[in-house]
Amino acid sequence: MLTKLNNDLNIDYPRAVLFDTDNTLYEYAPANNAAIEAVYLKANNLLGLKRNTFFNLYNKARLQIKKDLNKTASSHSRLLYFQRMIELLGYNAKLLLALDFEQTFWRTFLSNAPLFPNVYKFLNLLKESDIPIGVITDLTAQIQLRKLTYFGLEDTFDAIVTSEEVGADKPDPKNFTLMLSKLKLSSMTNIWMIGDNPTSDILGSKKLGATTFQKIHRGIKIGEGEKSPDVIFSSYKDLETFTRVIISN
Amino acid sequence: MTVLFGVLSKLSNKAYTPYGIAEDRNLKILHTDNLFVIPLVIRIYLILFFTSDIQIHWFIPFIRNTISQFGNDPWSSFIQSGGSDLAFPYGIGMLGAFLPISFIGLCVDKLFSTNLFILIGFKLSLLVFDYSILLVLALITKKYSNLHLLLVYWCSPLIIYTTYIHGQLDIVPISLLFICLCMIQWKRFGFAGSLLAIAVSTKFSMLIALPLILIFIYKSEKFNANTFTFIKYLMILGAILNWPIVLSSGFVEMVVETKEISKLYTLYLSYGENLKVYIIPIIYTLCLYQVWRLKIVTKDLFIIATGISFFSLLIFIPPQPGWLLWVIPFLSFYQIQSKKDILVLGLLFNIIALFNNFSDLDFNNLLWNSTSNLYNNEIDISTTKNLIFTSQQGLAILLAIRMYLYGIQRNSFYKLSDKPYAIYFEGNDSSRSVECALSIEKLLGKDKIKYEKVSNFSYLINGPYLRYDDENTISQIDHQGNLLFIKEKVKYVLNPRTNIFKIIRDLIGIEKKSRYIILFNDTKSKVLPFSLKKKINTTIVFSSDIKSLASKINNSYNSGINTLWAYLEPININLKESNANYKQRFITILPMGFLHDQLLRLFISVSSIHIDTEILPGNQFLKMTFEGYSTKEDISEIANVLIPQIEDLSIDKAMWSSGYLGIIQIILLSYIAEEMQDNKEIKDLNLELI
Ligand SMILES: [Mg+2]
Repeated sequence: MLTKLNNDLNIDYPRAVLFDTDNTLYEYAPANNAAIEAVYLKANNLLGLKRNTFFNLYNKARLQIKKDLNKTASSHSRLLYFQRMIELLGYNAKLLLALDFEQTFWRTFLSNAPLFPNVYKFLNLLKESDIPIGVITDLTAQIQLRKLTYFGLEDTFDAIVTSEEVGADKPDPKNFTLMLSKLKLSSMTNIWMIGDNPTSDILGSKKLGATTFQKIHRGIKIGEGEKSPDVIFSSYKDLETFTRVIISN
Repeated sequence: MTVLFGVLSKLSNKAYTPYGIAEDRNLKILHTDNLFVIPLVIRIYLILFFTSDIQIHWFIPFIRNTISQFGNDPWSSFIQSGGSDLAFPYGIGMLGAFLPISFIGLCVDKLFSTNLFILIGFKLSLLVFDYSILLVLALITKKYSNLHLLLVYWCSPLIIYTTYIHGQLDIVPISLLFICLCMIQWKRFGFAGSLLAIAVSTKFSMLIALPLILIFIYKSEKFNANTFTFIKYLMILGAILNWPIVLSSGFVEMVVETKEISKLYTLYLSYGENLKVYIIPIIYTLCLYQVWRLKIVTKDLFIIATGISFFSLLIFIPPQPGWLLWVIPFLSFYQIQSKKDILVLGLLFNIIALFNNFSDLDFNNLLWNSTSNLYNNEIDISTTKNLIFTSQQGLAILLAIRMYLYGIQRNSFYKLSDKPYAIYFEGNDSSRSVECALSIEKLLGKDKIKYEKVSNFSYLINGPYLRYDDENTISQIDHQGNLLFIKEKVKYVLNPRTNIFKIIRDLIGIEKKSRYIILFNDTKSKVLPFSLKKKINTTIVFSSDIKSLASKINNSYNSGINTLWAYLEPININLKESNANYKQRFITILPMGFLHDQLLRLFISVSSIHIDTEILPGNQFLKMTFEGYSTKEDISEIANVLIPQIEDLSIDKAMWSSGYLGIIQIILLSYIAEEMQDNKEIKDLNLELI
C-alpha cells in the first residue's frame, strides 16, 4: 500500500533519500520484546528476579535515565538502563553484569530484527540511479553502526548521522543539517525523508522542506496536522514501484 | 495468527533454529499472496457448493450415526443399523479428525432443521488438515519461495480435486504424518510419537513411515531418552487408539478386512506354480537399506526418503487415488527445496494422475475421439487408458529417481558415509591441542569422535605405536619396540583420502562408525610425510614457536596447501601468565576470500569485540586479530548466521565455547560444513595454531 496524502505536492526526482533506522528498516517492537525477554531470563537465572520485579525495575530505570538525559542519544542506552536497574536493586557496581545484560540484549535484538521485505531492492534502485542515500538515526553510534553492519548495509549508505554525533535526538534540525553538509547538499527541497515517527522524522524534516514518507505497520499512528507526511506506505515493494516511475520520468 | 505464532515458537524452542520473528513475518506474507487466496476461495467454494457422492452416501451417514449413538462402538453400531460395511474403512483417528467440526455442523443443522451444515463441517475438517500440510511445508523448508510453495502444493490440482471434489479423506493421515515429521525435526519426540500413533489409527498404511522415522531418530539421537520417549508415546497412544481391532467386530469387518494390505502382493515374479517373489516388499526394503547404510541422514534426505518409499509403493500397486495424494506433499517438499521439476514434470504428473484416476472426467473418450482417425479401430479405449496409466507410472518413476538423486546429493554427509573427517593436531603445546579437541568433541558429540595418536615413536592411547617413515612406508611397532607390521611402497593412486584412512584403519582399527577422527601428534617434528598430511582434512598446529611464522606461511603457500593459521599472543607482554590481568588476543591468518568478510561483520555486530584486520604482503592472506571476549551465546548466534547448513551437522547448540575456542569452533565448523556440502573439490585446510 502506498498513498499520497499531500495532493498539492508534486513529487520530483529526489536529490537524496534519507532513512530513519529503527522501525523504518525493520520492525522495532518484536525485536525489542524478544531482547528484553532474553535479559529477563538471564536476570531470573543469575539474580532470581521475578518477572514483575524485573519489568517494573527496568521500566523505572528506563524512565529515570530518559528523564535525566532528556532527548539525547544516551537516553536510549540499554547499558545505562541496566546499570540503573542493578543499582535500583541495591547492588552497587555490578559492572560485568550490566555489560552482560547489554550484550545479551543487543545480540537477541539483532537476531530478531529482520529487515522489511524488499528494503535491499529499494536501496539498490536508489544506488543504481546514483541517488545519494543517508541514515539519520537516534541512539548511540556504536549500536547503530553494529545494526547496519549486521544487516549487511555497512557499505551501502553515503552518509550516516547519529544523534550521538549531533548531541540531540531528532527532530532537532542539527541532525538534518549535518546530513546535508555530509552529502554536500544545500537545502532539503526534493530530498526524501523516510521514517516511522511523526514527530522525529516527519515534523523534523518537513520543517526544513523535505518530502516526507511515513512507513506504516502495526502500532504506527499516521501523523496529523503539521506532522502529516506527504506519503504513507506499508511495503517497500510499493515504494520501489512508485520511485521507479518517478525516476523513469 | 498471533496465537499460531506463539504456539509455533514455543513448540520449536528445542529446534536448533527455532521459529522466530523472521519466519513469522514470511508466513504472514505467504497468506497475502494471490496464489494463496485464490485456491483458498476455490476450496471454500467447493466446500459450500459441491457435494461428493462418497461423502454423502458413506462418510456422512457414518458420522451422523456415530454422533447419535455416541458412546457406542461406531463401526458395529453402524453395521447393526443396516449401514454399508464400505462406509468408513478408517480407524478411530480419522473419526476423531472429523467429529468436532461435523458435530458443530450437525448442531447448526438441528437449529435450522437443515441437512447441509454437517457436510460443510465435514469438509471444513478436510481444509484444516490440507492447510496444516501447507504450514508444515513452510516450516520445514524454511527458505521457501512463496511462489514455489504455493504453486506446487496449494495450487496442486490433484490435492484440490481428490479432496474437495472426489471427497477422499487421505489428506488427514498424510497431514498428521507430516506434522509428526516436523515435530521430530523440532525434537518434540513425545508429540511426534503421539502424532504417528494417531496417523496410524486413521490409516494403517502410515506404518510405512515408521521404520524410516526410527532409522532417522537412531542416526541422529542413538538410543537416548528421546528415542524412548518417541517409542513410548507411539506405543501407548497406539494401543489406546487401536482398541477397536480387538473390541469391535464392526471395525474388523469395515477396516481390517478392506484387504488394503493384499495390494502389496499384487506384483510378483512367479517361480513355477507355487512360488512367488513379491516385488513391493523388496523395493521397500531396499529403500530402507539405502537410508540405513548412510552414516548420517540429514533432515532433507529423511523426508525425501520417506517420500520415495511412498512413491515406490505407488509405482508398483494398482491405481489408488488416495496413495497418489500421499506423495504430493513429499513431492512438493522436493520441488521447493530443489527448485526443480516445478512446472513441467510436477504439473504434468498432477494432470495425468488426475485424468488417470477419476474416470468421471471422461478423458479417455475425449482422447479417443480426437485421435480415432489416426489409428485403426482395433485400438480400444482400454489401450488408451493403459497408455495414460503408463505415462503416470513412468512419470512417477522419473520423479522418484530425481528425488533420490537430489536427496543423496543434498545429503551433505554422504561423502562421509564410508570415510570419516580427520582433524589432525600437531605441535608442541599438547595441552592446548587437548583443550581445542575437547571443545570440538563437545560440539560434535562424543559418540561421533574417535581419538588416535599418530606420531613417530609416540604411543597410541590404548594401542601400538605407529610410524610413518617416508611417503611410502608405514610400520607398526608394539610397546616394546618390536616391529609388528610393515607396509612398503604404499601407493595412493585411486582416492588418496580414502586410502590413508584405509591404512590407518587397517593398522589401528579405527571404528567404522566414527564420523570424525581426531589424530594427535604431540611432537614438533613433521611426522606425517607431506603427501599423507595433505590428505588429512584439517590440520591444527599448536606450538609456542611464533617466530617461524612468516617462513611457515610462505612454505605452506608455496607448497600449495590452502592454509589457515591461528595463534594467541599476550596483549601486554610485560605481564606474566599467572597475573590476574594477563590477557591474550587471538590471531588468525585466513586465505583472502575465505570467511573473513562474514567473520568480521558478525563478530563486530553480534559480539561487539574489537577486530583488527591487515592484509599481509603478497595479498594472499588476511590477518585478523580478535581482542575481547565473546560469550558462547554470541558464538552460537554467529554460527547460525555464518553456517547455513548448521542444522545438518546435528551439533549440540549448548556446547559452543566462549572466547578464542569459540572462534576456532566456528572456523572449523564452517569449513567442515562447506566441504561436506559442496560437490566441488575444496582444497584441504590447515588450521595451524602456533
Ligand atoms: Mg524510528
